[in-house]
Amino acid sequence: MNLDVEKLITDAKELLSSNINKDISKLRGFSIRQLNGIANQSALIATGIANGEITSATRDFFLEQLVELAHNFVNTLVGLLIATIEKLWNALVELVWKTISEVIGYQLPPFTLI
Amino acid sequence: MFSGLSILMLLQCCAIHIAPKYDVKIVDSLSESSNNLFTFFSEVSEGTTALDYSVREQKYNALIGKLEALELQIKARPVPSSSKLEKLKEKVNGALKARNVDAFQFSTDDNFPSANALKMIVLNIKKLKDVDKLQGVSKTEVQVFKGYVENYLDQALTYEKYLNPKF
Repeated sequence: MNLDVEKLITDAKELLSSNINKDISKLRGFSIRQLNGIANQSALIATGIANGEITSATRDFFLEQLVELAHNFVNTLVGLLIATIEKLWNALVELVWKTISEVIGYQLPPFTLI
Repeated sequence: MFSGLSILMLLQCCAIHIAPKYDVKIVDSLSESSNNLFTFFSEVSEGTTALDYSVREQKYNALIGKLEALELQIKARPVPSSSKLEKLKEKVNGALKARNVDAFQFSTDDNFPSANALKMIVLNIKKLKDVDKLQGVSKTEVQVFKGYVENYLDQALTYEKYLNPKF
């Protein structure tokens, strides 16, 4: 039994494209929600300070929290990207190994990420 | 030909684990905490006065206790060996440097963005409690606290749900 290289390439492309599109769509949705949230918080705080609704007891805390919120948004995005890489890698390896195992009768050495 | 077992062993040796493992209990606990938090915010949505702070004190304590326990639960989860992750982070910073962008500062807490989000929620609830006790909280201040909690919850829930390989 021969390995159909063209089919493997096509399957791998489809696998990666569908996964990337799905994941990017989720990351984009998350990013838009977060950016809207940061913008809304900024507007609310600016208005609140201007009209005195935000007092000295909370003002500095709220301003510091804007920075923290943005920082953890980026950290979360990094975490999501790491999880995406893990998902893509494992899906691809599973496809390649499954295809090869159908053709040959011996075990290949394990892959390493980097 | 490979037997089913040998194929399984082969796949396991090649799969990588660089993100924390998905835990449905954490997602469920986050959802429950989310409900509790928004219920509380709806009760104080018009602002508060320090005069009746005592009726809310137990609610604050219950919320803070549950959130801190959940933060610990997230941090207690095993984290995959970091060598591959560290190489990945080095590559990210290498790519940033090539584009003349400052390197991203990763800290230990960055391995747990959801736990850090919970830590920030606790910080917000504690601050809300302190100000409530001191002088009461205006309607706008409640809105701002709620906004922060909502955004941090979004970060934590999105991340934890995303760890599910079937998501």
